Amino acid sequence: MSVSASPFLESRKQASQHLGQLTVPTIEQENYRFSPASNVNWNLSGNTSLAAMETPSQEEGELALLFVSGSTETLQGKPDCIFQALASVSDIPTSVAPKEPFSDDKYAQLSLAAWRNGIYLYVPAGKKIDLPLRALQEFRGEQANFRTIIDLGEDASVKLVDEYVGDARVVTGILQFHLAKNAVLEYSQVQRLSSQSQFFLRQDIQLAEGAKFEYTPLYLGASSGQLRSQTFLNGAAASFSVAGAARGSQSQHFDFWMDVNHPVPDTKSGIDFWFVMDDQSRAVFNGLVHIGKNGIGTDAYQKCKTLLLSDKAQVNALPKLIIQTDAVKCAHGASISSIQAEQVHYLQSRGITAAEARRMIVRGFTAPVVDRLPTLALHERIDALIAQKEKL
Amino acid sequence: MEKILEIRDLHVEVEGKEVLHGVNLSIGRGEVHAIMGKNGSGKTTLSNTVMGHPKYKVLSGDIRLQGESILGLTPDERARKRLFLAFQYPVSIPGVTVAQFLRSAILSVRGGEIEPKNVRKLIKEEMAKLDIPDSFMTRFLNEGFSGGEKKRLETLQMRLLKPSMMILDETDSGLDIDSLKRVSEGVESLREKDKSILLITHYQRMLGYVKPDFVHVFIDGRIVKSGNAALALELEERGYEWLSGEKAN
Ligand SMILES: Nc1ncnc2c1ncn2[C@@H]1O[C@H](COP(=O)(O)OP(=O)(O)OP(=O)(O)O)[C@@H](O)[C@H]1O
Ligand SMILES: [Mg+2]
Repeated sequence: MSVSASPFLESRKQASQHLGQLTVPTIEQENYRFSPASNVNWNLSGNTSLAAMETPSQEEGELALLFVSGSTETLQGKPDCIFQALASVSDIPTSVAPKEPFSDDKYAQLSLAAWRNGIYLYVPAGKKIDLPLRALQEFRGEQANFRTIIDLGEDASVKLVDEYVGDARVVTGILQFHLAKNAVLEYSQVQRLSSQSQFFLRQDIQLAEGAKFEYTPLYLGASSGQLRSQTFLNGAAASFSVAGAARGSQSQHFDFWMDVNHPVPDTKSGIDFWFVMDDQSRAVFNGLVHIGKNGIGTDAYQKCKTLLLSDKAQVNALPKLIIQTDAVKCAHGASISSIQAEQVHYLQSRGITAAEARRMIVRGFTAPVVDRLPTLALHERIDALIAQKEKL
Repeated sequence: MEKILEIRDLHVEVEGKEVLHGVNLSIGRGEVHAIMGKNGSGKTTLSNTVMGHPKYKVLSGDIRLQGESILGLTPDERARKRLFLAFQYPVSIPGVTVAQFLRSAILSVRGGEIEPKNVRKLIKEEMAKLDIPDSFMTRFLNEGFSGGEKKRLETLQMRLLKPSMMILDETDSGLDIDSLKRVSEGVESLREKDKSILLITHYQRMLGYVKPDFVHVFIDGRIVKSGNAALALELEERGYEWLSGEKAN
């Protein structure tokens, strides 16, 4: 145990200063245009700790399950790797230097100042972990703030499934990813908070040369919230691929604010979102691909497909581009459809009930995302969760 | 002779327009009936209506399956009563694999007689008979399938669901010579098992394999003439113009 003070204590202090200086964003601001008023308590003492949770069990095909209200998980047979729950700054190894992003973002500063839980994952250079890791974080009480740090050394590779559950009124989180040269991360993020919860996530993704990040967000729960994600492809041949899905019902509201930066030559990004929206729910895709002066040979696209199950549901797809150089490949597109009567009839004519037919069609629509999850057990569990949202 | 499908003075409207103007047709157990007729005369409208497509509104008349009216039944209830329609234009369903779909369909229709664990084997056996490659199982339903591949898949479903009354809406269209032979044999072998068949076609060639007991000519939303297999040959030679003046049967 080191006795010297963690640099993260200082970082907390700085964040709380920023927090005090920044004003609360309003819908007059471009990127918050569709974000409904929040219940966030900006007071640091508003943070509540975790309650005890039911013990989840490991699923078939997983290497480890970390359940975040305490213990340190040592990965069997991978002694140099660290996969542990964070409860205080002293849980972060002293070798890690804080690199705090989003200095302009009040939500980020709140998480940085007030976090009480989260995950730390470290995979050293050259280590490849084949079986997926899973972290289950349960948030309870008025407000829970968390921070997650994921660090991969050169040529390291790992798959992580990060699940958020619980009924905290507000969840704020800051996630940081750092992938060294040629590191590979498959990161799935399953948000299935209760219908009372609001979430505000901020994530910063830094990719070195040849690093590959496959991001699979699946948003099912919460009443509303915003994910703000920024990615920097800092080295040639780095790649960032997103296949995300949101399944909205009632008055749920999801806002995905995705910035991708291509500052150097020959990097690649692809963003695909599939939204299935019912009732009065709304999804917002606010994407910005920024190709810098040196971003020659960038290959980037943003696509957003929506299946509307109700004529009161809404989607706002706002893909934007800033291109400061030539010789790049860039595309964006958005489409909106509804379940086709012909498709339902076809399935029904094979004995399948109308309700089941609708479920199959919705399932098929989100299959490109669900099928990216690393285990069959997860495919089935998530499919079932999506199907549960189907009203019959 | 026991009647399997009876259509009585059926009037049907689609998109606000009456398309069927009093169709009468009665098919007995084990019989094969063929319907031939001009494009747009209402053949697909008839098959969709029998299957219960919600867009096709029955204005009057009745459709009876094994003696009971099925007008009040949903398409899936009709399927479970062993009515089957091979679609003229099967739709694609992205993200749903052929394997998932066939499994759901078989268990929905034949759940009482087949154990879930035997479904896969059954599908494989029938696929081999129709020369459908294994790789189809993991493809999405009808997505990117060629015209002929779709028709083969329709035939596969028909064999797997063991219907007692089947309607084939131009299942022979767009098939190459080998596929036509496979599909026709697939249909003909079901006939041996005492099934009733309604074949909608523009060509004589499938009727060479699956010999019809009756041939009906469809013009303008009605059956205007009925006869035996010889009528199909005559139509192929003479076209439909000579029948334009015929009154509905
Ligand atoms: N879903 C629909 N919406 C609008 N019109 C329709 C629909 N289905 C059929 N019709 C119309 O009804 C008429 C009969 O069409 P139908 O498809 O039944 O003809 P068909 O005899 O099957 O023709 P083909 O030999 O070309 O397959 C046509 O005028 C067609 O445009
Ligand atoms: Mg037709």
